[in-house]
Amino acid sequence: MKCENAKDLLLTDYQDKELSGEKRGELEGHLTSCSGCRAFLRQAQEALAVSFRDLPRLEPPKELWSKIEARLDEESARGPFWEDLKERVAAIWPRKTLWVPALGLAASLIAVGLWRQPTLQPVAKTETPPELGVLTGWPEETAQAPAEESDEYGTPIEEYFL
Amino acid sequence: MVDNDEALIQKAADGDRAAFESLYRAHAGFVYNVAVRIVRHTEDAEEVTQEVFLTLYRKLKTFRFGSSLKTWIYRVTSNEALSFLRKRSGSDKRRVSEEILERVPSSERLDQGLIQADKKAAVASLLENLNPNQRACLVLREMEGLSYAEIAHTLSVNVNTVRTWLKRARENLMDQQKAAPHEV
Repeated sequence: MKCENAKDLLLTDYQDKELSGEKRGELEGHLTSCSGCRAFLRQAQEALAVSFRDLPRLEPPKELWSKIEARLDEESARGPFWEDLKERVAAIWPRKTLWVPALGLAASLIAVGLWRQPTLQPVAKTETPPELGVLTGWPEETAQAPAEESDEYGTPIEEYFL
Repeated sequence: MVDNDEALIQKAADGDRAAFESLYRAHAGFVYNVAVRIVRHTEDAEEVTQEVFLTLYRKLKTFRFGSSLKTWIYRVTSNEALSFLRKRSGSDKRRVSEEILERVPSSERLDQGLIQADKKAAVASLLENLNPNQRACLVLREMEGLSYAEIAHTLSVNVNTVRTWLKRARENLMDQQKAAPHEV
């Protein structure tokens, strides 16, 4: 086992007792022969002895339920249709602040279009040769959403588990 | 234990306000605590908690009884809290630990000495310096005791991403403590 993999495991699965018996044996074997990783383990244990579980459990404010109830009453008065519509619109266009500039832009484009009134001329229809169609096609893999920052893929710890 | 009390969930899903209030009383505590640790401000956490319960009320009809209600609520809470932070990104990063400590129940405040209170403030401030994903992962693991698989399900990512976020969170904690070893 490489030291880099061992340190990754010491900060994750080993710490959280999520390591399978075989991998745990492999890691402990590495620890007996590697003083650098043993030192890293001591350092990690000291630093991570911070007890988050000891942080105080906070009580939600007493008036929170009344606020929720008031919102529920408001929604019932408006009817479920309105809330459903609001959610659907928000999902399509989440930023309300964009409505105004977008409507302004649309109105300007219509006004410019009407003012110029271009003369319509028949345009000869050109067909795209099949080989160009392939070139303009979007490769399947690039259509997927990009990975979030560099946090998700290609890190040594992921390569180790994959 | 109210979790997965089918009759209660069914009643609440049918619009029974008393049944929904019982669900609120049973789950508001952990929803609020997870929200506070992720969004870092008590007022923001109240807003998140409110949104979580409104979402639950609207979507309770879609809940599948084979799964755990608590896991579902963790998921809604993490989504709401992280989405709240995305909307508010770049805003004020201060007010935190002291404000959070002020909300500790008075009985607990009486029990704990000043040193203990300082220690807790320092621990809370360690969390503040992590990015939201790392913080959410660490809170779900360290404070709520969720397994890697449960965290992955809650945050809609794969288990290896959970490992990566936890690893980076802990490296960050180690670096912070190297920089200021006397604080915790």
